[in-house]
Amino acid sequence: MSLQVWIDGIFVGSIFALVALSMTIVYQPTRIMNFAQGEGFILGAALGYQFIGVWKWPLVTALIVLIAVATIMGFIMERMVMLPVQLSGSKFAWIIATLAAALIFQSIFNIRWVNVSFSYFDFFDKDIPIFGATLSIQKLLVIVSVAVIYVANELFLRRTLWGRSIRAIAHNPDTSTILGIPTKPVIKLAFITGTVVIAISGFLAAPVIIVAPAAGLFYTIQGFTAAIIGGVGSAKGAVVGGMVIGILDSVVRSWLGGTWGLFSTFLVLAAILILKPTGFFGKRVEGR
Amino acid sequence: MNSDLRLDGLTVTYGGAVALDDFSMEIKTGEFVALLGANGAGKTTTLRAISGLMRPAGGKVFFGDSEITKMPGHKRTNLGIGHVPEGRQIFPDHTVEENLQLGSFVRRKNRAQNSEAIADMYELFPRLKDRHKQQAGTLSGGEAQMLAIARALMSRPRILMLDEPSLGLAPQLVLELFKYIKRLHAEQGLTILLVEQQARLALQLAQRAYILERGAVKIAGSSKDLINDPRVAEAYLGSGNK
Amino acid sequence: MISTFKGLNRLLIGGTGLAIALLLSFPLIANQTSNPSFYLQIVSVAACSSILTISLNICMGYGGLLSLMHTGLQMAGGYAIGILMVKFGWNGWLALVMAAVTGALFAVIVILFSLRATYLYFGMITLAVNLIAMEGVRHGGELTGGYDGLFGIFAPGIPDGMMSPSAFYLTVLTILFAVYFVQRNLIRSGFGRNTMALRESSETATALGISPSMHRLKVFGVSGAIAGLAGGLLSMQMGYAFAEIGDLNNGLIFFVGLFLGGVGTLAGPILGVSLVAVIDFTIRGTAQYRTLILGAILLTTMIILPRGIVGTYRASRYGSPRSREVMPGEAENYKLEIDVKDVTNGEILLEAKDIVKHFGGVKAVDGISVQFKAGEVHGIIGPNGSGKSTLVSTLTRYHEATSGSVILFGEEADKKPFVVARTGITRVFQVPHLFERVSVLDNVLTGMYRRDNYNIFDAIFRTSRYRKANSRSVAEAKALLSLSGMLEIEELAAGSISHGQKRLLEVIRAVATHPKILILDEPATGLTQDELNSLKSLIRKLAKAGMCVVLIEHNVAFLMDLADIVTVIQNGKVIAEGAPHTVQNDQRVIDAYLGNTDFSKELA
Repeated sequence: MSLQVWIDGIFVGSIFALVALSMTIVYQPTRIMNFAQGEGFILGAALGYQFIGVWKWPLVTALIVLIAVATIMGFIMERMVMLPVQLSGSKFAWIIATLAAALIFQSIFNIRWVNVSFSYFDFFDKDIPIFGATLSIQKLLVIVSVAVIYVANELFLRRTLWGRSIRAIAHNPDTSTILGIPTKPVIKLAFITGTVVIAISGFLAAPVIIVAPAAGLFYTIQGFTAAIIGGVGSAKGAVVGGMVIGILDSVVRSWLGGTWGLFSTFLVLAAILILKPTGFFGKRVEGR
Repeated sequence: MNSDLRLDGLTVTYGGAVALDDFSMEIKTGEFVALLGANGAGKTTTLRAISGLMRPAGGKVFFGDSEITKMPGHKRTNLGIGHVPEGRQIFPDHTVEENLQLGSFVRRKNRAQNSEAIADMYELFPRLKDRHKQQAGTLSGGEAQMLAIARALMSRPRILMLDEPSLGLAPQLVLELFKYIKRLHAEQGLTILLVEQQARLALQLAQRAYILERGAVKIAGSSKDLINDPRVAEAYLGSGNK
Repeated sequence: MISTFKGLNRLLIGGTGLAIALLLSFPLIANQTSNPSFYLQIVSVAACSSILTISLNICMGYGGLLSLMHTGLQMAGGYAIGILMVKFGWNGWLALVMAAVTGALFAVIVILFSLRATYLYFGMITLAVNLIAMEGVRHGGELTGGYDGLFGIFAPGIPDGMMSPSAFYLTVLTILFAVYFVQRNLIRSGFGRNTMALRESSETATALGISPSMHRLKVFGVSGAIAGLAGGLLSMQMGYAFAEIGDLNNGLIFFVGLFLGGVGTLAGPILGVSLVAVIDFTIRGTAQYRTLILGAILLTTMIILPRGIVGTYRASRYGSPRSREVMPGEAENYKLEIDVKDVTNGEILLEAKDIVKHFGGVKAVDGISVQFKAGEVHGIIGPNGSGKSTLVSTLTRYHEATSGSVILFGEEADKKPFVVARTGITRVFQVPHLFERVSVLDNVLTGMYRRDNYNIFDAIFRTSRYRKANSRSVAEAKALLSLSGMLEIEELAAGSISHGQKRLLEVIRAVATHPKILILDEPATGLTQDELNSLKSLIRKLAKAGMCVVLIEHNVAFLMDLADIVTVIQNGKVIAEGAPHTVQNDQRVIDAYLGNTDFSKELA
């Protein structure tokens, strides 16, 4: 098994890890797994294509506007998901609401960018040789951003007051209310942060992988898979889970070819769900 | 500072059942009042309604100079309502110190005051100081109860409500705990509403008490009078004469 | 008001009749157009979608099982037909039956692998299975046609050749109506009641003797069979089967249709899918907006009409069941003698011997021995956290005792809670665990599950075995309701009655299971004085008939008036036991409740 296969696996795994991480961020104060999370990835790729590929903006400007748009998208998504949840009180509400949101965003991307695949030129256009394998700088950027975001998220959750209050709400919403911690703004913050994180990931990944406008659900499913394998609600699990399926996909693909890669990740998912539903690092089993 | 608490005909339903039935109660600033009654009588419901965790079906809640019946829960903490919930409910994955900091969430902008407040808590509860970097989940029952109280105190409440703080604690610890509570009342002039199942204990501490039975007041009066009143035992056990 | 209600009802029935007539005569209408098979296909496909949505409704709406693999089941049905017809030359109609069987098998296998999975995880498993299945058929080589799929599927004519589009259209429609009736008959039978019971509260269902795994298997199996059938029909209509049929994206129409129409209602799926089909047809020129529009409809429905159209109608004043007048003399038809069989008064039915139960480091129950006798009301009281509920949970095997034995009817009790429930103990929990969206009468009927001696086929075809068992159960249920004065409200949804009535209903449902031992966990909470009196009188009747009634209560006044013997528990141990007034005046008991420590000196 060549080193290249592993490197490619780590790169793909990083993308899945980022999706899973952003899902975990939303999950923590809400206990909701957002089916529409993958659409944020598409937003990042789409805007990367549009701002840099088509309109030739400088990188920094593009990033700033991207973050602004992602914030708005996160805000809208929060309302799309939480409103039905609050109003209907049924078990299904959040699943159907997030599914609907996913399909709405997906169709918006499809309509606005008909027949386009999101990609733009690689800024660095340089490959680093590693023991006979190559790693482009752009890919390295993606891999590094996993670490950066993971660490930033952990620091935020553990070291800042707002981060701790998110964990407090996740653990015990009533007690948090008694202490004066407002749950609604925190939930909005979670959705927005999650969307911004995943949009940036899409933005960074687009030069090296070609993203189709309708691929949101695909990334969502991979994110789910990673999160479940690693343990729902655990950031560490999200990263580990992502790496597992990325590497597995790459290895199996080089060995058996084509779609066997993804097939094997689904098998692992099924196995984990049956044998150890809490995943590697998951804590309490869900209530919803 | 006015920290009068008044409940006016409060009715709370829970899943179709009436948990509180037209309950009226008044606590004046600086008083120490106990709320007693058998399990299911409505004591915890009362505290939750005051904190804003439950919406009343009828009646009003007043605190200080304002009516807070419709105010969202997290804003009530700002007004000065402190609540130590049943079962302590500390955050086990946070350290002792982090729990305290979460307690002062509403005052997060006053850094200096908060450090002072934490120092005060450590003085009041030296055992918490020893364990301040430990995960709160590793504390013993008594220590957890201290932490829960300290955490509630961090928001500098004007009224402190405690829900069955003695539950699950050994008698010696209960004594220690109640000594603290008495000090809080005596030294800091804190208004206190104590919910307890152990009536005798509460009556030894509080000045006045309300005894609830099935959501309504059965008896109310000064502790001195109630402590020997046979009706108190009846509220729990029913009258023995059939 | 009444006239509007009746009027609206008549309007709906008329409207439905009109719609059916229209559908049946549609081929004639289509023939007038330039491209009849195009129009026929649209409605046929919509009918197949309706069948699939009914299947989804059964498992999600009634069964509470989240399934993200229904598109996969549909695909499996299509491939079953494709493989059998194209590769093995089977007759199409036989192959269609096999499509249903394939769907059922598929579903059953998934359930068997995920017995312990809770709601969300089960959904994820179905998602994974769906994805695996799609990949599987893509790599099936010769057998499945690989990426291209299978072609050449058609509906065989009788006696030979191909069926005409009109004939096939009518066949599909007939199958749709048949499936609707299957759904209806199943739901309105013991099977349906048990399904809804599991959906609302699997704990309660277990307490009534329903085995969750077995039943989930049946529900999902039936759902799978119908989904496979729908898939087979779809492939017959389209002429092909390929992997993309299983794509979740294609399942959008089912979810939107189901939720728009009303999840958990009988007519909802067909209504919803029809509406979506109409919308689909209307926007067919602008296909790229389809997903957006459907997604927006779904979201809006979740916000404005969370119960769907039919569900909202049912919940409204016009559609919801109402209480009725009890005809004079009707009560006479429903006289009931409660007779607890095979027990003698005073016989020890249930015994706890030195039960100890640890939770973590805490001894919730610390060596308790109690005897419960037939014909007695046995009260259990004790301060908060004393271990009363835990003790009872070990007796019904909800929790396994750390040590000690539970002797039931003279033998060591079985370890599984639903087996214990079947042997004659029924427990009514503290929080009402009624099946809220089910009628009062149906709630009571669910309690009689164990005495339903018919199976799924009897229910579907309404055989005489079913009808006999049903009328017997209904008569007994009505008698019980009459006994507690609730006959007038038999049709109301259990969620809409008062708390006290809910309490009574739960007790009655428990009685319907013909227990020898009835455990009531704080039944008096929240009852008015009148309701308390009704409850008291019912409990007295039960004890008189020989039942052992175990009563855990905090409302000690209520209990003392009723109990023959009271056991007082504190800190996991029995501190007193005897007749009510003895216990009330026992100083140890008073101390237990009020606290016996005197700190007055230290606190002065």
